Amino acid sequence: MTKASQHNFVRGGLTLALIVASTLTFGACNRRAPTDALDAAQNAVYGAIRARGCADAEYAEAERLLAAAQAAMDAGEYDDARDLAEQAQVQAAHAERVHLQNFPCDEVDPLAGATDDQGPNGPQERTSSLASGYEFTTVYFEFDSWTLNAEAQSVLESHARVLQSDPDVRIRVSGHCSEEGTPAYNLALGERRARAVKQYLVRMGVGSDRIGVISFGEEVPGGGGPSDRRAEFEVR
Amino acid sequence: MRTRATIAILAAVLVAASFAGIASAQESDQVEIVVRPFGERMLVPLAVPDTGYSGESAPSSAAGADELMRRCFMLAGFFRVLGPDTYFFDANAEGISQQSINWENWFNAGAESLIKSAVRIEGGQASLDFRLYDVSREAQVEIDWEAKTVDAGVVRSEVYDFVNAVIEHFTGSRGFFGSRVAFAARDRNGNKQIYTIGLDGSGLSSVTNNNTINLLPAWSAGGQVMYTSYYNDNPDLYVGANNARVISARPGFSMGAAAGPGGEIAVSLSQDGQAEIYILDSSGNVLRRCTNDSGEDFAPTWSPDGSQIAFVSDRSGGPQIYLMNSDCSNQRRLTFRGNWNTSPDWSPRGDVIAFTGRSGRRFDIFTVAPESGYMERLTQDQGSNADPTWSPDGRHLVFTSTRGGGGARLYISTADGQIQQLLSDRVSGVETPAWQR
Repeated sequence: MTKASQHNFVRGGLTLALIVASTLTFGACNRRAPTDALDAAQNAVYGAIRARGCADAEYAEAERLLAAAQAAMDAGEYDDARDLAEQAQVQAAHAERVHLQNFPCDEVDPLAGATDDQGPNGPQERTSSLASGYEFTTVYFEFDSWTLNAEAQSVLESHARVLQSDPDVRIRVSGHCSEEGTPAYNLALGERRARAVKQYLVRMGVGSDRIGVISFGEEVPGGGGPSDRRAEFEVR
Repeated sequence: MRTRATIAILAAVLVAASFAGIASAQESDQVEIVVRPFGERMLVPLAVPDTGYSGESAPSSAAGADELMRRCFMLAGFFRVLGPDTYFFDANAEGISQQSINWENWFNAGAESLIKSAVRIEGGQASLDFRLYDVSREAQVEIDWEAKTVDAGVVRSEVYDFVNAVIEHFTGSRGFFGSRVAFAARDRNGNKQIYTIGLDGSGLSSVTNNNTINLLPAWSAGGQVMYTSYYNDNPDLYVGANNARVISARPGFSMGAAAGPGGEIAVSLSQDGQAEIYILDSSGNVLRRCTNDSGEDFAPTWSPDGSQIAFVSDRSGGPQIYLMNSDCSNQRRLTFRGNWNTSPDWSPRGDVIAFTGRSGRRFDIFTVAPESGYMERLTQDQGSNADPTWSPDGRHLVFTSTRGGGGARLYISTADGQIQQLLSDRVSGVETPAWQR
């Protein structure tokens, strides 16, 4: 969003208030807003959201630091904002480590679900490797994008060669997103990613009927932030 | 005769601070009031002393009527609730009859209105006597609720009914207590389940309890919850608890269902390669396909008369709110500010559509008028706020907010955004609330 359109959102007296606030606070501080540090912190904190499971307190602290960084940024206290953003990033990584150490945890969770119902087909064994040992490695995307970059294309070319040499293999491509955005938007984006991969493989000569697609949107994080924005492969 | 106080609640009154042009947030111990430059909501000072219990000891289902009333009146957004901690006389010394009330005490406590309540428990039955008094007239006010004896297990729903009737007296239409909000949240196994919760923040219950991902709840015309679930290894649309019935299982996803007033279901299907809006009958058969463009079209919401549908499309770049007639004709873009606008919900009053807009690095709640495109902002500088959903009467909204930390929680706001309160601190990590209506 441009600065101008952001200000269009802000109405009436609020605009004036912001202008007054900025004028008052800009004088003494570093004039460069640490947007990069804040974006990195936000990605790290949102990316580590699974840590809420078994490291709730640690994750809450990361969220608190991020909020404080944002508040400092809004107040024009850029040095503080940068410090807090860096602390938030470190804390997010710490929370994730604690989560993994404690996982699976038995904390009393009012939202805990039962696990005995496995769905009509039971739990499915999923693999991305062939008997030959070939691994259909994951490809990654930029934020809010379904374009295949050069690295992804070279991975897919390798996958296409293997698929062409073994016509019995069928795969399913699953598209995934990071947790920015809304669940509905991300379900659509994940589908776009999966279809972009399928389209590329088909263009490389793999039969369209051998490739299924599914979107998981933001529902199955892959490790946080950039590593969530991906397409995975499952041999069917 | 019942006198209806067409009170100053809804009237905007100039605030002295406004000419300074600076908005600030004030806090009282009861509610959080966002002072806007052009006016402040007037709250009715309503005293709610403790309920007088008599007879046998009250079962948990019947205990705490006073606490429940105070909580509901506070969440309603029309009252400044005066509880026992705000006055310094023994309110328990007086009864609930007009003659027994010391009016001067209540006047001095700043109360304009007074709730008196008595519960008598006998043999599993609860005799309820709840009353509304006007302090300046020193008289009981007649409302659309009568003293009655009920099973002690349903006292809570009678309290809701009484509160709703009091709200009707002051505002002309009944309150929303007793209705529910559905939402999605992670369970501790990393799956996502659908839950519902009461509008007073109580009564959390599960709609799904399976070993997979369930998301994007909405209410069916029959009052059941519809949602997308990976129960059968594909994001299909279900209705009813525990994947009771499939509405749409097609290649790709079936998501973001919205029940129309005529019983049809608007939904986004990706069976054609892109997300497109379809209209299904209540069994899931396709009645018509609405969109056919290079973008993703999703998140439909019906106008209250069913003549139009708002939805999200990124056919012009980033996601924006679009409108069309419900026969799919006359598709046109509605929002032109901001580059990322999603999650529309059309107010049951018809006049505005609430949606989620990205503002810098966060999300906030906005409304847009479908006729003029005029936009208003409801949240700002308080965490990330998303997924607004209207009350049945369009006077309130529920949305998620990360303010306060600890993950997204459910907040309730008046339609003008002036009074925003935490609905429940018990549930966090919530998304996509949908108010039953």
